[in-house]
Amino acid sequence: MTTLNSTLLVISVYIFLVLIRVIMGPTIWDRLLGLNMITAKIIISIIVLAVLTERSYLLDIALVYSVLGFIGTVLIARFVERKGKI
Amino acid sequence: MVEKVFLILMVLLAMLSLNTPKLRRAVIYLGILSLASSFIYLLYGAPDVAIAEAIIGSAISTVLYLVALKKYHVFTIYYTNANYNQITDSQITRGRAQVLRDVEKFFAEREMEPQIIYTTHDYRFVLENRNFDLLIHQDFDEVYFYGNKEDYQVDAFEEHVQKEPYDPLRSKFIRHEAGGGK
Repeated sequence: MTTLNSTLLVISVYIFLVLIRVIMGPTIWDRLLGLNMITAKIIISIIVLAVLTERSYLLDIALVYSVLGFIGTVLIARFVERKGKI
Repeated sequence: MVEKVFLILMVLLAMLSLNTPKLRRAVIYLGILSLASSFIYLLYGAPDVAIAEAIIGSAISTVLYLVALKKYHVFTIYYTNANYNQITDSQITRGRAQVLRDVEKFFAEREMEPQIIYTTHDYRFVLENRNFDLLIHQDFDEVYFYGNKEDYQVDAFEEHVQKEPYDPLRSKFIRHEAGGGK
């Protein structure tokens, strides 16, 4: 249980570091990259949770997250790039 | 412990998305917020709710926000004229310039709400201190349009101005960095 807690804490420190870039980022693309990185971090922490508590159904949730995070990032990028047309 | 860190993250993101000057940033903050909240559902042992939150929060509501952002927008237009010292009602109704009528028609065709503000301030004052989408400055027979650089509708308006110049008047379009007054 201590392994789980410490791993998740380290990952959440990373999330806060990326959040600084999301808040400061001069352009919209920096923010978008930060969103993508935070999605990746949360997927990693779900997988850590699944492995260390031995609940394998959490891996399916990680799969759903990765697909949906991709869709969200692509939609926002298309919206910004094509000036309002999705 | 980990739950508390993520709850703090959620509060932080909610406050950021309320206080952002641009709505596109709020969409990104809300995407991160819904990701963090669904991870908290997982930590509290509700994986079914977490899947529902991930689908609704990061896919459907992002699309919904983006479509809404494109469709609806109150457009703030400032109008300054070099030979106005003070503005009266009769001046607005009588001297309603051909330019403004055309601008209103343009935005009405696109189903947007133009909000026109007449001001006696100098246009340089408005440029530095007010938050606007479009500033129209008329100096006798010259018209200057100052458009907000990051606005998508202003792009369409620039093309429109270049296609049909207002004939006796000379018009000029200038892209301007987003306003000083936040």
